[in-house]
Amino acid sequence: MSTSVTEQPEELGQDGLPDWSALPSEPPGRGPTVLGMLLRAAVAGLVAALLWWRGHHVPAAVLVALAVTLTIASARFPAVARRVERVEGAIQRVAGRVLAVVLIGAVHLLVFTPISAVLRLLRHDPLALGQSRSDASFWRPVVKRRGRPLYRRPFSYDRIPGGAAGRGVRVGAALGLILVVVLLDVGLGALLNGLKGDDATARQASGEVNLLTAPDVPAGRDEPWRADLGREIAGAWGRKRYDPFLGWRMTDFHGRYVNQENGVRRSYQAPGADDPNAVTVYFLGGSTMFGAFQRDEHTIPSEFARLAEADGMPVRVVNYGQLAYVNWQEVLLLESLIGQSSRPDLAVFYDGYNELLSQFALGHHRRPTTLDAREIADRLRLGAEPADPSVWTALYDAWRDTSAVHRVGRSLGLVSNEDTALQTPWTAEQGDRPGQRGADAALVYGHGVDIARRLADSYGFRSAFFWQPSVYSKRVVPGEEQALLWLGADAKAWREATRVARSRLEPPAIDVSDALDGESGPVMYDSAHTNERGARAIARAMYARLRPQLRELNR
Amino acid sequence: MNVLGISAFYHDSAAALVRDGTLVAAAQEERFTRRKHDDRFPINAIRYCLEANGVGPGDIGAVVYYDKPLTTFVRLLRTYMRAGPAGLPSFQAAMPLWLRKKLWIPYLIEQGLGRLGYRMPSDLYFSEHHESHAASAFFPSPFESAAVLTFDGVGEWATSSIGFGEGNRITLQQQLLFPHSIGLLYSAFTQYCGFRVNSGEYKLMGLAPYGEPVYADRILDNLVDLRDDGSFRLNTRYFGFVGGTQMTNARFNRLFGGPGREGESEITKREMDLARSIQEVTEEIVLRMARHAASTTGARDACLAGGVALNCVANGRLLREGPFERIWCQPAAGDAGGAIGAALYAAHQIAGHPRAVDGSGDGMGGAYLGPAFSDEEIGRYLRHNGYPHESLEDERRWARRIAELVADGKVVGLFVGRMEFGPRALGHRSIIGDPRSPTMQSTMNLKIKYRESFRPFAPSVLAERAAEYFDLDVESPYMMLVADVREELRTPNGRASTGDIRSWVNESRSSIPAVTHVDYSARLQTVNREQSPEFHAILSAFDELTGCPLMINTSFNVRGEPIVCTPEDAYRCFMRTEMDHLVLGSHLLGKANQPAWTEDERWQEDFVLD
Repeated sequence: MSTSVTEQPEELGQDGLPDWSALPSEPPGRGPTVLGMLLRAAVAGLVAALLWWRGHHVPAAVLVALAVTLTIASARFPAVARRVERVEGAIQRVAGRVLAVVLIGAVHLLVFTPISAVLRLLRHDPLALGQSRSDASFWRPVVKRRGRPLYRRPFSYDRIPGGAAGRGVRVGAALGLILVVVLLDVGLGALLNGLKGDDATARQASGEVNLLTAPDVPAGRDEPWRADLGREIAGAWGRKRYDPFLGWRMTDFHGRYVNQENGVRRSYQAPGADDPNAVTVYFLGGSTMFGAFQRDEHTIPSEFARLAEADGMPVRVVNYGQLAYVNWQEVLLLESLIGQSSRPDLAVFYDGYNELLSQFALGHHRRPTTLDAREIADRLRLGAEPADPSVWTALYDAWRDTSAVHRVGRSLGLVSNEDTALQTPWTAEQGDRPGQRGADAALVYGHGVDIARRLADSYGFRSAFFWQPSVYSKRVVPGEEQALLWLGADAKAWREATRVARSRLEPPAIDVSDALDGESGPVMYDSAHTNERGARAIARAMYARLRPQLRELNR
Repeated sequence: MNVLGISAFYHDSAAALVRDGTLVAAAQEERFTRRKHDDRFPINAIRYCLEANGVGPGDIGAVVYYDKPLTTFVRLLRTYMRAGPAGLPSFQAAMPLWLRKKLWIPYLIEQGLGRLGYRMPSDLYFSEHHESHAASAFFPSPFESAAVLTFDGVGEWATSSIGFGEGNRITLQQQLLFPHSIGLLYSAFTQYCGFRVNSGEYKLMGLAPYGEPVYADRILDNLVDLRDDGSFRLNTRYFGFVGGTQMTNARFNRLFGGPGREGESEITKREMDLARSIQEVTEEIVLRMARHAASTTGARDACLAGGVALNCVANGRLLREGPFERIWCQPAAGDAGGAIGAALYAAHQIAGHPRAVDGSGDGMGGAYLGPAFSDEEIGRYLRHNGYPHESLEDERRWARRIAELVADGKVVGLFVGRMEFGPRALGHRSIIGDPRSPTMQSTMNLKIKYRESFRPFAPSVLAERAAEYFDLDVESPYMMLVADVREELRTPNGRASTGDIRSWVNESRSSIPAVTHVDYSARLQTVNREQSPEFHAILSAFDELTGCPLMINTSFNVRGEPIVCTPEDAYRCFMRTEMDHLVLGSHLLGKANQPAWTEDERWQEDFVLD
């Protein structure tokens, strides 16, 4: 029977065609939820906090404002919430893809490419599976372990016939792989060092890298050499050697701005200073006397020499400043020099800051000791290293200095910066009796001054002792505020300690803490070290005090 | 026990359901998503298999995935260890999918089942890739015991394997390992000749008869180190697939005189000769493998699966010249069939279900394993949409009417019964036409399928009369064999010396020119009443009417489109093309009566050309 049908459309009921239309490729989302909105806001808040912490205040504020606005709008208007979700999803997808490309590319570059290179060197084909071109047949037997549990595994237990390489190949491959990875790591690291700054030179100085490399602060803005100078200072520190008597001494170093030989930093010498009859002045002190942020010819001793020259009294200046020395080490150094029949006409000591630092770092103590100083240095990662590091240590250091992986680890905070890490030196609560710290510092300093003075008297030369200025004693000018907090110092406690120490100073100590107050611009790189202008000012203050003695000596 | 088999994430995702050892449903995901070769998790195919067969939320006894993904991953990693820096683009393309999906198969399956409201069973199995293929070949076969040959691109490590099946057990005995793959070799030439890998291989096979095997020796001398037992090594220096994104490389180009053909550009004699050459090499490899399998297993029959088993020309030659008395090819020999194999493997090999073999039919049910729609449902759909139609409830009249239309030179879309599983349309989702017409091949290629004119059409012939037309003495119910048109039906023709393929296409080579390929071959389907009574009735009616018991049978789709699944898909395809009539179950629709079809003319852009 046939029937021609041309009927009016009717509604398709539920029992119409079976519905085999495709399901959406992803299950439908649950739509915007309050929890989702709050989570999103929390993430934005965290990012904003991070930005704020890193000093990006405006973007942080904008992000917070945006997050708050969108959260409120999302809660009020579902359409906005859906749109926000879509945008967020799109961002996530793009970020995911970019991240995937980068990470997967890195895995290929760092893992598969080296392995491939090693295998090629070893002429091992990972796909050969024990086969050879000369085989009579290329069929491989299928040898299987049987059992129901094996079918539950998404992998085969059966070893691929001939799939494993020989022991020799495996060992060779492993060693080769390690070699290639290290070469890649070092090569990439060297490239990064070249592109992003030579870590290696600075790392010779280990602990001093961060401490002594000139920071980008207003005091250094007019000193374009500061970066190179900082690296050389760090390099000079890197040449230090253990000294059983003094703790450490810096050895010879020759650079563009920093030169040191036989424990003496090069200084400006006025014409006539090499006259055997010229007055010889030894300058002893810590890094401030050494001239941590000053070129050879612009340290305090150099500027002192210029002043004397200008005054018609050429003197031979000898800069015995040593990084991180306290007064007591300087006294011992002087004793050592005298023991070697080296004596000046005048010995000038310049101290103060490290004496206070010692009190803050080691806690209250009232006796001078070089061990104290060493401990501070250790905390600042300035500790003396063995004179002759082993080959392995040297190799490790060389690898560490160039390794890209180590560099990345350091930048991500996954690897400790080891001896480049600038740790806060404070062991005790800084605010704990700062006045007492100042008093103790003055007391310990006084012991050293007393012995040095007696020494000078005994050996017939003159001595002078200057208590140095610091940011805690000087008038702070705009551009020096950051110096107050250097190394996480408690500025208030330091000021108090400095004040008390100065008040306890006794003659012959001379307080030149106000030497920098006449400077209109910033001079402090950090809480103790000055730029070259600061060094000139201090030299002027010293020279003013010592001019009468020099006159006498010059007669 | 219900066992759900799943294949996914490579190409042609699919699901299959085996109940108490019997295959009851299978479908490819592409049919539902309308995305050709869809490789995503087959959630729609799973839904069909479970819901259409009344499986309750807690009634899944086991789920089987057709591959060991971690082993495959290891193979991939080793491949990149060999590839070096050149592997970076491929690595970046492959890894995200692995990290997001392929390494988390159990989770994805549980998630997918949960989404459909099903509980994950405690039994989750992973069969090996070639075990799945072997199971899909042997367990549904009509043989009590047989050699099993599988060959495809690559599974975990294996690219080809030889095994033996007996009763409800299969044992794989030997295998060839990556990268030495007959499937990848064929795919390399497919891509070089300008066709898409994993879908254009059958085009290359169709192109082969137009060429001469002038490159065969060059292939064997340079690319393939072939042994007498069919094992071989590829010279991977000529290929790009080991860690690369291309199948071939510059060295390969130099060997064959220049870069490969750009897709959709003109096909030259070089491509024809290359196609013929690689086809001959492939056949030689298959034949040698078969001889080796016969000698090692002692079997008289063989079962075939894996993508290369879709090469019906090679299958035909294997049947004619090979060592086996009978061969049986899994109709869904590619990865889709892995779902069937995985499920059957679990049912027989793991759970121990006995296998029923009566020596006659196979366990594939004619491959009609997909969704079906009743006449009532289709009628409601047509009425709902206001599509004018004619309902022919008497089967004889229905068949007669369709036969008359075909005999009248009309092109008819045929949508009856359950959808086929596998790449071939076997009379349930087919476009049929008169094979006697000398212009029908071009007409159907260019006006209906929108595909290359050189591609031949397959005939469907009454099984009982196939021998009158073709040199074939066995049944070929799944279009997996190629046989020659009988000598007496052929008409002489000459080959154009210019190599212009278009000059050959319209030549009449036999009394059934539309299904006679340039070399007088035909990829035929034999139709018997038991497996497809509807199609058998139509062919019988056509035979009564014209004395010709065969018709053109091509898949119901346009180029790049998956075969239609639902009446809606069928109607859409019908209206988009120049088909004259559409049969939806017992309902007949004429194009002239249909309301105007308004659609953006760019609809073809929805389909990626294969």
